[in-house]
Amino acid sequence: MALIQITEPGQAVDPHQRKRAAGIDLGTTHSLIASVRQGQIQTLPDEAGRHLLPSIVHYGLNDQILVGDAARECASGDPLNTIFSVKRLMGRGRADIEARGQLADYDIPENTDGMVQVRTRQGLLTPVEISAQILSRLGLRAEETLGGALDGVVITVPAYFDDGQRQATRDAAELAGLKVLRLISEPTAAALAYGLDSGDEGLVVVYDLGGGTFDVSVLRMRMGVFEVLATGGNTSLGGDDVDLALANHFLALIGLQGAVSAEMRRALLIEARRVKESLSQHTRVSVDLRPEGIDWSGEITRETLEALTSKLIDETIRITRKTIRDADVDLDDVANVVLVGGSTRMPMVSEAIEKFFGRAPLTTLDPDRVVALGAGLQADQLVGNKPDDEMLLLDVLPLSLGLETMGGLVEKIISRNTPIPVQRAQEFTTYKDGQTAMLIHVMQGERELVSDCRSLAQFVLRGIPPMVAGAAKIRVDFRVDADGLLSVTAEETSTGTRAQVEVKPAYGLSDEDMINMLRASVEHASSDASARMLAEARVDARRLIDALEAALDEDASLLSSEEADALRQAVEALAMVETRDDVQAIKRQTKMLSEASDEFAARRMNREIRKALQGQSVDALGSES
Amino acid sequence: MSAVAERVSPFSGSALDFSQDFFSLFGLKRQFSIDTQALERAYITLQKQFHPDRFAAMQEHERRAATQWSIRVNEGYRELRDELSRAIYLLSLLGTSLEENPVLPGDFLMTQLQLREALEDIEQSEALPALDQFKQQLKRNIADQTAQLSGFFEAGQQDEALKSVYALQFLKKLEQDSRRLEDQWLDL
Repeated sequence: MALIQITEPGQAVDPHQRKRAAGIDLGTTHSLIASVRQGQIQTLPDEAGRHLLPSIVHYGLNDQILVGDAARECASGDPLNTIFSVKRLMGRGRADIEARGQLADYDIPENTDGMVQVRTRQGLLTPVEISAQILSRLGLRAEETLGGALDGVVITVPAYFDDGQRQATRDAAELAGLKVLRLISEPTAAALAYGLDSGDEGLVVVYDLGGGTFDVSVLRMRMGVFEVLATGGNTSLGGDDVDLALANHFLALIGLQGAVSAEMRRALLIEARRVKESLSQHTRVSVDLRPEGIDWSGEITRETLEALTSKLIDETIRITRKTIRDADVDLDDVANVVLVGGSTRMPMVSEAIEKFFGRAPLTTLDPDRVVALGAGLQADQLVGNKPDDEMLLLDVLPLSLGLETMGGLVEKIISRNTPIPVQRAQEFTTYKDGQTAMLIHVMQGERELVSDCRSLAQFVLRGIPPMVAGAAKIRVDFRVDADGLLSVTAEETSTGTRAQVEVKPAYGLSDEDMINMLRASVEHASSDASARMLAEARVDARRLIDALEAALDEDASLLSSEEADALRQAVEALAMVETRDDVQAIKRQTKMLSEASDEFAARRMNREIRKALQGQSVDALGSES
Repeated sequence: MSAVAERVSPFSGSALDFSQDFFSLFGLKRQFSIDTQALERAYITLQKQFHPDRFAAMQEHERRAATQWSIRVNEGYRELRDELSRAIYLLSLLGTSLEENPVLPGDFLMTQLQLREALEDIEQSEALPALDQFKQQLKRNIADQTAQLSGFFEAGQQDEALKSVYALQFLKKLEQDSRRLEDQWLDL
C-alpha cells in the first residue's frame, strides 16, 4: 500500500488471513462470480459444475424463488413469472421498455412511475429486487466455495451505463447483503483479465458485445496505471437483438404475423438463440418450429443469419470508430484488441473487427468469463490482499451530466470522458422577488434537448431566504465518485443558508424504498439475516474504533486538545453502543463518529500529500514505477 | 428555473487544504511553458497514491478524503494539460481575470470573421479535402498563437498575454466547430 504511514496497525494484512473477495459479472443473459484461489483467478462453479448462472429468476407458488437453470425450465410454461434479461430493466422507466418493443415479455402495470415494476404472482417487483436474487445466489456460491462470508465484491457494469443504472446495480448488491468495493466497467475488467496491466505500455481497445448491451472502450496503459480514455456504446444493442430478428424471421416463415402469445414468443426466442449459437459452428442448421399446433421444419443458413445481423454489426463498428476518435488516438497506435461477450463468438463479428483494425483480436480467454475474471482480480486487490500491487484503474464519466435550463435545453456541467472522480459547481440565482424555492433538473446524455436526454433527478431547493430577484446565490455541487455515481448538494451562499435538497431520482429508488425493501427481505429470510446484520454492524463499528484509536495515538498532535477529547469521547460512546444488540443504534453512532472524524482524516491526508512529491526531483518521478 | 449563471471553484469550504496551486501540486515551476512529460508522470504518481481505490479496504472517512484529493488532482491535470486553460489559470494566479466582453482589435475580429465564413463555405460545399486543409491551417494558427503567448508570459507582459488568450479562445472554438462538422460528415 502506498500510504504505509496512515495504514492503521489494526488493519494491516495478516498473510495468514487472506480476505474473501470476489468479482461478479452481472450479465444480461448470464452471470458469473470469480475469485483468486491459491494464487489463481478462476470462475466458481455451482455444485453441478456449471460456471454460468443464467440471469433468469422464476417466482413460483408458495413463495418459491428459482434462479438460473431451474428458472429457465419454467420459461415457456410460465413466462410472466419468469424474468429474463432483468438487466435491461435496471434504472429504466416503462416508456424505455415500450420503446424497445419489449413490453410483451413482462407484465408491467400501466401506472408505474419511475423505475419499472414487474407484476408477478409474488407481487410487484423492481428490477433491483430481481437482480438481488441473482447476486445473492452467486454470493452464496462464493461463500460456500471460499468457506465464509465475503469481505467485499467488485461488480461490473457496462461502461455506458448511466447514473440510474449504476445506482440500481449498487442497490441490488446492498439488498443481496454484499459489500461493494467498486463498480468497474466491463471492458476495463476484460483488459485486466488479459493481464494487460503488467509491464505492457500502449493502447487497448475492448469490444464487448453481450446479450443486451454493446460497449467499447479505449484504454491506455502507462506506469502500471490503466486509464480509460474514451468509452462508447449502446445499452440496448446486443445478441438478444439477433435472437429477436431471427424469431421474427421464423414468424414470417411460419406465415404468422402480428400478435402472438407470450408463450409462443418465448418459445421462438429460445429456438432462435439455439440456432444462432449453432450457426457459429456450422454453416447451416435444421430448424423445427412446433409452437401451438404449428409444424414447420426447414433450414437456416449462416448467410441468412448474417443478412439479419449485418446492420447491427455495422452499428457497432460505427460506434467503435467514433470512440477511437473521441479518445484522440490513431487507429495505427492500437496495440491490442480484446473481444468480450458471447455474441463475439459469431464469426461475422470477429471478421468485421479484424477487417476494421487490420489485426486479429485477442481471444485466448473465454469471452463469457473474461469480465468476471478481471473483476475478481480487481476485488482481490481492493480488499487488500495484494498490498504491493500498484495497479490502478482510472475511469471516465461515460455520458455528460447537465442541467435543464430555460426553453427545455440542457446545459452541460461535466462532459463525457472526463476522468473521475470529479466535482464541479454551478451557481444559480432566483428570477422572482421573494422566491424561496427552486427546481433543478439533472440530466444525462449528449443531446441538446431535455426530451432527448435521460432525466436523472429533480431537486427542489427550499429555504432560500426571500430576497429581490437575482440576489440569492445558490451554489450547486455535482460530484461523481470513482464508481461513476453522482451526488448533488446545494447551498445558498450569500447568507450561508444550507438549502434543503430533496432528491427524487427519476428511475432510481429513494432511501425510503431501499429501507422498505431491506426490511421486507429481512422479514422474508430467517432470523439469520438479522443476526448477520448485527454482526456486520459490530465489525464496522469495531474497525472504526480501532482505526481511530490508533490514529489518535499516532497523530493527536494534528488536533487541538479539545478536538482530541471530543473525538475520544465519541469513540468511547460507540464502544458502549457496540456491545448492545441494537443494529440501528450501532449504525447511527458509527455514522456519527465517521463524520466527526472527517476533519482529522483530512488533516492527515493533507500532510501526506505534501510528503508525496517531496524529496524526489520532478525528473525522478517517472523512474519509480 | 433560472438559467445558469457562472462557474465557481468547487473547493471552498472543504476541510482539506487545497491552498497549494496546481503547479506546485504537480511539482512544476509556476510558468506557462511546462515539461508535459513531467506533468504526466506527476499526475500518475499522485493518482497512484491518492486515488480512493488505494483506500478501498480502509475507513470511509479516509476514502472520502482521498476522493477529494483525487478530484483535485484530476482538476489540476485538466487545467494544466491544455495550453488555453493553463494560460487562463496562470493569469488568474497572477491576478488577471478574463473579461466577459473584451474589446478586441478590429483587424483581429475581421480575420476571425473571415475564418468563420470560410468554414461556412466549406460546410456548404461538403468537400472533405477543403475541411482537412482548413483544419491544418487552423492547427498552424493555434501553434503560432501559443508560441506568441508563451513569449508574452516569459517577458512578463500580462496584458499582451491576455489578448493572446482571447485570440486563442476564438481559434479553439473554431477548431471544435470544424471537428463537429467532420463528425457529421463521417457519420460519427
